[in-house]
Amino acid sequence: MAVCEECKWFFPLEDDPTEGDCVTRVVDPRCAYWTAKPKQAMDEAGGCGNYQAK
Amino acid sequence: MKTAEIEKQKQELLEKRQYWWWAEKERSSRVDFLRKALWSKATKGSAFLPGIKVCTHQVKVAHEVLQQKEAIFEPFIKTWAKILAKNLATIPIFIVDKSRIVGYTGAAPHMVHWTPLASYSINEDVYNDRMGLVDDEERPVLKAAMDHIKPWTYQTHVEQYLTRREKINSGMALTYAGAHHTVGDSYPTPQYDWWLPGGYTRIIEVLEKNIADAKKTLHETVPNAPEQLPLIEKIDNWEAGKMVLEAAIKWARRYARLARIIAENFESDAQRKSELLRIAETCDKVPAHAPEHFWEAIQFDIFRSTLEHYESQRRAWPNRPDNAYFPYYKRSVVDDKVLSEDEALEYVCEWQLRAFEYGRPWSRLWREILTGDPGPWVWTLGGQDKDGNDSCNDLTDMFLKAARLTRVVSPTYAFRYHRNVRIQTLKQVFECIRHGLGYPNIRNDDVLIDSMHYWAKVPIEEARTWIVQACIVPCAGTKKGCQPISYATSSTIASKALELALYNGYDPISRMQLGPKTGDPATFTLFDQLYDAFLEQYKYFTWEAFRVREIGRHVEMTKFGRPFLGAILERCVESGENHARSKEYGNPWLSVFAWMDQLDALAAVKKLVYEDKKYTMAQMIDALKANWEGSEEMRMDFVRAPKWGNDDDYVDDIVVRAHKDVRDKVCLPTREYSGVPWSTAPQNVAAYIVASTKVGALPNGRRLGDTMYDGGCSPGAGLDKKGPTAVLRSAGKLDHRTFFKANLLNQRLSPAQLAGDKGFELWHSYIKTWRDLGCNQVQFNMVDNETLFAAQKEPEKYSELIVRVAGYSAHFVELNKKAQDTIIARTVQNL
Repeated sequence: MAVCEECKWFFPLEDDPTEGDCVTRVVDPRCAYWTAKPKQAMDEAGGCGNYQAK
Repeated sequence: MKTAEIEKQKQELLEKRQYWWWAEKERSSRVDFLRKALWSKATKGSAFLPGIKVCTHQVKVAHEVLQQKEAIFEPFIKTWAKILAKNLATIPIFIVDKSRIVGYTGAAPHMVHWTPLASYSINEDVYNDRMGLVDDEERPVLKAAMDHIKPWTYQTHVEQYLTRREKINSGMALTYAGAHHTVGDSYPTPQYDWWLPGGYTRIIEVLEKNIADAKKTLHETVPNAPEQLPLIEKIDNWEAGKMVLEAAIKWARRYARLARIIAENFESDAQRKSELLRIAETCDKVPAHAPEHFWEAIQFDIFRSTLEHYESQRRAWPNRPDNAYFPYYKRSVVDDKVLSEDEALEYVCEWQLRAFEYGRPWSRLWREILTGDPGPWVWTLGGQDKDGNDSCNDLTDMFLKAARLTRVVSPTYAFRYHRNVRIQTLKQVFECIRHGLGYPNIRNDDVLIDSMHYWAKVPIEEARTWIVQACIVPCAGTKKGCQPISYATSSTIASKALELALYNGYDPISRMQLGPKTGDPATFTLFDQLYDAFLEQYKYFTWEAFRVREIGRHVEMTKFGRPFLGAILERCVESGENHARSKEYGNPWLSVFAWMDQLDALAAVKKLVYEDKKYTMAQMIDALKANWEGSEEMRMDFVRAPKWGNDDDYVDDIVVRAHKDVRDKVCLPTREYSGVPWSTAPQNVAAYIVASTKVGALPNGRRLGDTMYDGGCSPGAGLDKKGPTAVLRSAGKLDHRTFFKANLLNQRLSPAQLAGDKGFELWHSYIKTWRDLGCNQVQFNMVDNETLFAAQKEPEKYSELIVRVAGYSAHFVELNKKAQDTIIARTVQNL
């Protein structure tokens, strides 16, 4: 089962690589933005639509 | 397209008074991009615009934290601090393309932040929304969260102390609307000189020392209960404040990290990369430390305001940015020259846009009352410094220029006008009005400074620092003056007082005995008997609204101290008291909606029933009961009776008398927690539309369903027949220093008449008359009916057309038709 730390969009914290952010690009009907969502490195990523292996 | 051609087009648009299209061409490409990227959180009637969702993140966090065993026994201020800290640590954050200021209450730009701890009624309103605000797949989780959170809410805690009558009246909103426990909102005034000079790090140091000293006294010194026991609550308050400030610093640094990640991994444009790195540097620095440059000060302001919004549903946004942040502007633009004026203008534009994008999921009632405005965020510009010198500066002018470019309805501006205001700034104010923004509204600085001293003995030097606290009421921005409590959540539907007097306390709308039995008016032989009955009814429900609010304050004091707010108020950090327990000078007031209608009605009854004896009271009441059906001729007699706003002493004397009696018999006998009397602030926002179905037919000729008058001392639409000076003369008969805290006057001016250079002179002459008559407030609509009708037909072409509704402005096309029609019906005054 894939986990977040294997995903190209996961950015671990410098001082604690077991945690990090999932940084993704969103384009909505009005604007485009980058968003960061806190994740654990070992969170399951199998069901995530954004998952892309590094 | 060539520059000369663009300039020609812009000039043509100005000449045609098509300011919204001029703004689109005049503003920079960045500002234009960001303006169009905004998700408006304004509501049309009670519905949010398509695509808006509620952000449920904090609801889920609150549910999780409240299930922990500590939540059962620890002081709630600490639980609340934990909820805020966890929310800040886990909520998704975002950076919009081309933006340079970050921070928002919500996980995405199209979301409105939902604070679930305030009002379970609002929680239910949000949950029950079927217009797309809530995703259906989230409902099971939200239902479970709401059920668990309900007993923890502020509303639940307050209601245990209310009588059945008070609960019913609060909910029905027929005599007073928006009782605080049903909305749970806030608008504390900022104390800039506490948190700007050292940032949150300095405050944390003070808190840590206070905690350490208190614990030493509590645990290591000779037992002395009277001195030691009070320290327990103080330690809790300080620790909660420290927790939130530390969380706030970490949250800001999450933005710094995100900006770096984007710059280093995804952004190829060199300029944008540089901007992102500056965002990172800024967010690493503020709010932890003091800002030094202008962009850092703006970012600090947004971070602080965002966190206030996260902590408590914000209902207004007191701010005096030109005064507080001018030193930073001066350093960056004038002294160090690290920012050009054009760059500073872009930043100010973005500041306004960031403010505009805030929203909150209110109750349906209040979404209607504030239809078209996500705020109102009334920011204060101009005025005097504590020594009485003019405060206007280049940043004041820049805010006014930026307003004409961004054309947002919040922030909206209140301009503190005084004799010595510099003309270049006043011309900028006029240009905003001429561009049809409906703001700034103009405030009489000297009158309001005196008023603050009258009502709460605020020292004059401190009164000069005043900021508009909500829509129109001033509040000192000092250590002892800052008001942490929102008082006027409750607003009376004032004309209910006369209606109840006409039916011996019985309300024909709800068919309930809402008021005391003040006598059958058919038996009254003198006008004064009816007048006394009206005053008694008004006093009855106004005092109830005052008492209910103060019970809410007790709950805030004992249970709902705010961890973040307590940390950013110096007197709270000093004393260890929470925001509600710590006494300030005091600034309590009740907003008064739908006030003037009944005073015109009283004048008509005096004339037609008691003096001319054309109709008996019984005949009139029968006609009112029938909503004037079959009595149109009688109704028109009452419409034609003397009306306020025409400099007619017959009716103006009654109006003055009513204001004086409200002050002397309703307000001055009361005492609020800080020890000062309650006051009032007649205004309306869009309650004049909402109240149309809450108040029945009245003897000023209105029918059930007709909109009420739209301002505090505004005449009824179309009833002011003698020109703008007559309106001012009527308004000037009121004592604006002592009758109330503030009173709103709407005026509509002719764009054609005020065109060109002479327009300013004409308008300034009007303002001087207004000032000399001692009026406290005036606001202007300057848009012609032709444009409004065109906007009704093709709304997509007029998305940035703005109108003044009452205490706020709105994008015309985001109002429902009834609201639009009332604005079209307002009398256009020729100066």
